[in-house]
Amino acid sequence: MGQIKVKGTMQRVAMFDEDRVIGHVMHYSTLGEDEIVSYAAQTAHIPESTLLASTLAIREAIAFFVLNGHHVDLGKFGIFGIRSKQKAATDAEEVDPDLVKHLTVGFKPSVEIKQAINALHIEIEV
Amino acid sequence: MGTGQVNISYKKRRIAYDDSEKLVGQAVRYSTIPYASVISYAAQAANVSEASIVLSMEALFDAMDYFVLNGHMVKIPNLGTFYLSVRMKSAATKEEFIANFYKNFRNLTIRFLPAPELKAKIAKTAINTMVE
Repeated sequence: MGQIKVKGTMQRVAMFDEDRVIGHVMHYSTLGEDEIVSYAAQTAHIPESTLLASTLAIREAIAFFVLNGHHVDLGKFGIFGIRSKQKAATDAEEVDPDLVKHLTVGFKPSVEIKQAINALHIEIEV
Repeated sequence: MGTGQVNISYKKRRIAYDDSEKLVGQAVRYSTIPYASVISYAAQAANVSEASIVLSMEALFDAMDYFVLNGHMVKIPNLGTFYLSVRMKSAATKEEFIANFYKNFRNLTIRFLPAPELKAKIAKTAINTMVE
């Protein structure tokens, strides 16, 4: 389906205390919502206004459900959910919201996307 | 006022590295909202038919997959940025990097970086803790 380039660049690696070659996926550009909507409108023959209204509603739905402790299944795209990082407590009295250090929204790609990723053609560059 | 509420549940678990038992927290997941329910909710919120939302989502997901799986980053305002990331072992030299590429390769995955607007909503989310 797709083709990506993995580039190896020399970088400092702290655990080895030396410079080593690290692989990164090369990102050609950052596409915004307008470009994605425009592309989707052309390929699927859907009015851009409908697509924009849909993305807005889906974005709001994701934020609303995820920030209230639910996971949101977006079918062949993936699942959004809340993720947290917190310190462990030695006893129940110590348990407090202040132990929560980090709260974020995570995304897990669907099986279909994972299969597409596994089928990618990888070009290597150094 | 917060935008949501998240419960963190603490459960006694074995901590291997210091050979002890501690209360370890995890965000409580109430349910997984199925795709059909998300579509229905979005259709009502946007005042658009469910069929239009389904077609729009399919087209948008196809477009996002296409661009992300071809090395582009996709930034959706108020939601976040999707991009492809590789996990692999490092190599001592460029020659070794090329020669052992598939041996050192672990996996490729799509990463999601929440947008500042979403991070601001997360920061306003109320956190409750409970012990099981």
